[in-house]
Amino acid sequence: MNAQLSFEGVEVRLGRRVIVSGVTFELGEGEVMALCGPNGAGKSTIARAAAGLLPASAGSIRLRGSALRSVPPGDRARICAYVAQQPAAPPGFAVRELVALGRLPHLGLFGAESEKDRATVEQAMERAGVSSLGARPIGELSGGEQQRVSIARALAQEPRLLILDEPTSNLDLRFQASILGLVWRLSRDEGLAALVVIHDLSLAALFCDRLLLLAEGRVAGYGPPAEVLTAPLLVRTYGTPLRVLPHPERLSPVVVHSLAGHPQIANQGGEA
Amino acid sequence: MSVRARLVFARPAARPAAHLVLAAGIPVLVAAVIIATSVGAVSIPQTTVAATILRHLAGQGGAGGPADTIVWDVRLPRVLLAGMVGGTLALSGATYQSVFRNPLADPYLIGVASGAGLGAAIAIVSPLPLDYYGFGYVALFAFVGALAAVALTYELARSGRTVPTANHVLAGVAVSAAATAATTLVMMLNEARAFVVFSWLYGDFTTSSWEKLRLASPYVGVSWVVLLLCTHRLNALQLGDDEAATLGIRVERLKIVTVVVASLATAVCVALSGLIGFVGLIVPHACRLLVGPDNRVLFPVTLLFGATFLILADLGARMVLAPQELPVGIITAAAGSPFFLILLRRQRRGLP
Repeated sequence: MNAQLSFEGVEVRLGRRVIVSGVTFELGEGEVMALCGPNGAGKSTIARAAAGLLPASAGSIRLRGSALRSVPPGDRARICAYVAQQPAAPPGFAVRELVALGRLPHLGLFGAESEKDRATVEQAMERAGVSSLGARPIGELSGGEQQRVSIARALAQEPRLLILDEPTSNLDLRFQASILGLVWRLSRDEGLAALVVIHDLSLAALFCDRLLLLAEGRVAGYGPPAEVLTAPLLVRTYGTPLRVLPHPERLSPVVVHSLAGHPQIANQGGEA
Repeated sequence: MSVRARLVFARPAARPAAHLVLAAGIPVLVAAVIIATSVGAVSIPQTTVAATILRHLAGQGGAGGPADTIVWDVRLPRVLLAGMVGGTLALSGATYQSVFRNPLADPYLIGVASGAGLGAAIAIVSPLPLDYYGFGYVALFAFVGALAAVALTYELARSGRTVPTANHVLAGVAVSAAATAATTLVMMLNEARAFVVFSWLYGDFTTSSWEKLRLASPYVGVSWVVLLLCTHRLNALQLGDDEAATLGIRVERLKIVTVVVASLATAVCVALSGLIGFVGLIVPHACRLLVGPDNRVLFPVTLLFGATFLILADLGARMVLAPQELPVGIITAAAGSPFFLILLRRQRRGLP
């Protein structure tokens, strides 16, 4: 199988503190994997390690079969793109200029852009829905618009592996669906592999092929969303009453809060 | 950080095309060279200046006579040196601003210039022979001072394996203050040479010569090439260290190379002409307002305009109290600070 990214028994430390340990998974071509879990479970740490920003202190991380730490940064950047949780909005940059930075790994010694580079930038902006913002200074945009610009920048990189750290955190319902739908489509049509850190389990269930649930730095569940997202596991992992329902259109779980812990609210609701 | 937020740029749509700015900048620089060469105690017509320079460039040698000597041997080296120093200081400033993602970073703020100044002041008051006055021990000590300041600032600011921008600037201010204090102490302890140090500290092109230009140009030239080749990588750094790293940049290496190269270039400038402030801060800012933040365009434009700016500032230094000369650093500060304030106000009113 064409594993774009694989983790095997990975442990990552920040200083002396162990943040995640014993993480094993494999992400193949054309697959979208969600990284879920409570705050501080180590989701972003795994995303950063996968992007080559943090070294594994134990275990191995492989990018297309080669040890990630031995892949030269330039080669890595042509395979893997990463969007941080809070992407920078450098003052003065126009949206198009910022998206064009994604072409960097493909440029030559003098950093000149070709027609193909420019066309790729336009296509990336169109896909992320920011074409109309091209000439606007990045600092003037809303948080959601900036987030989509960063995703356009990552797409301009033409990656085979896309790592997104909470890409939907600032997006409204429409753009949540359109960004995740785009990632899903790119995985089906072009074989893109994607690792998406996401809090919303129901969204993850709809748009991702597999889900890795983290709890306190360890893997609590791994597999198709329908298998991982079960009420007992989620209640244990998140420590709050939750219920899992079927999606009305699809065999995919929807996770909602239960009012079991809040009897007063439940009583007011007047359940039939 | 409202100041930081205000230091913004021309709206992308309102920027003139980069090649137009470059195309306009070159004739302006040439005109500045010719005008600055023609003005002085003996006024020489600009046509004569142009003709003399062209004759020398064509390899036909001098026409002889006082005009030829004044233009070719006395004034032109001085003007070209001012241009080289101005362009280099501005380019170094643009580099620091880009690396530290701080629009206020310049050779002064991170301690480089003060460190070089301290090194040079020690060389001037020391009993060492100063045969190549201005480019012997003075240069060597300035190099050492600049690099020591960079290293010290970097070490002071380092936390673990990274250097947070705010720490770096704070450490730079501290190192700068310490170096300035030490320079003052050096002057107090050596009253006899204090005036030499003082006038040199404020910028001095009076000892310019072709010899100095020849000695400095390899270092300066190499630094220009290295920095201009790093522009697209420095662009990526504006996204933050993490995203730059995922774009294939070796972030720490890029920072160290560009900072060391810019610091060496600054030290050469300090050794050549003393401490000349504001060029490294004002020129990159003004250029950024004009052409935007893309370093691939910004760096060459900054180099060009920095050269023009210091040539005109040196012209001013010679003219204001003629026949006496002012230190050029006073001119750059006097011209630079109001210019800076005007830029800020225009920006606030939303004018490009």
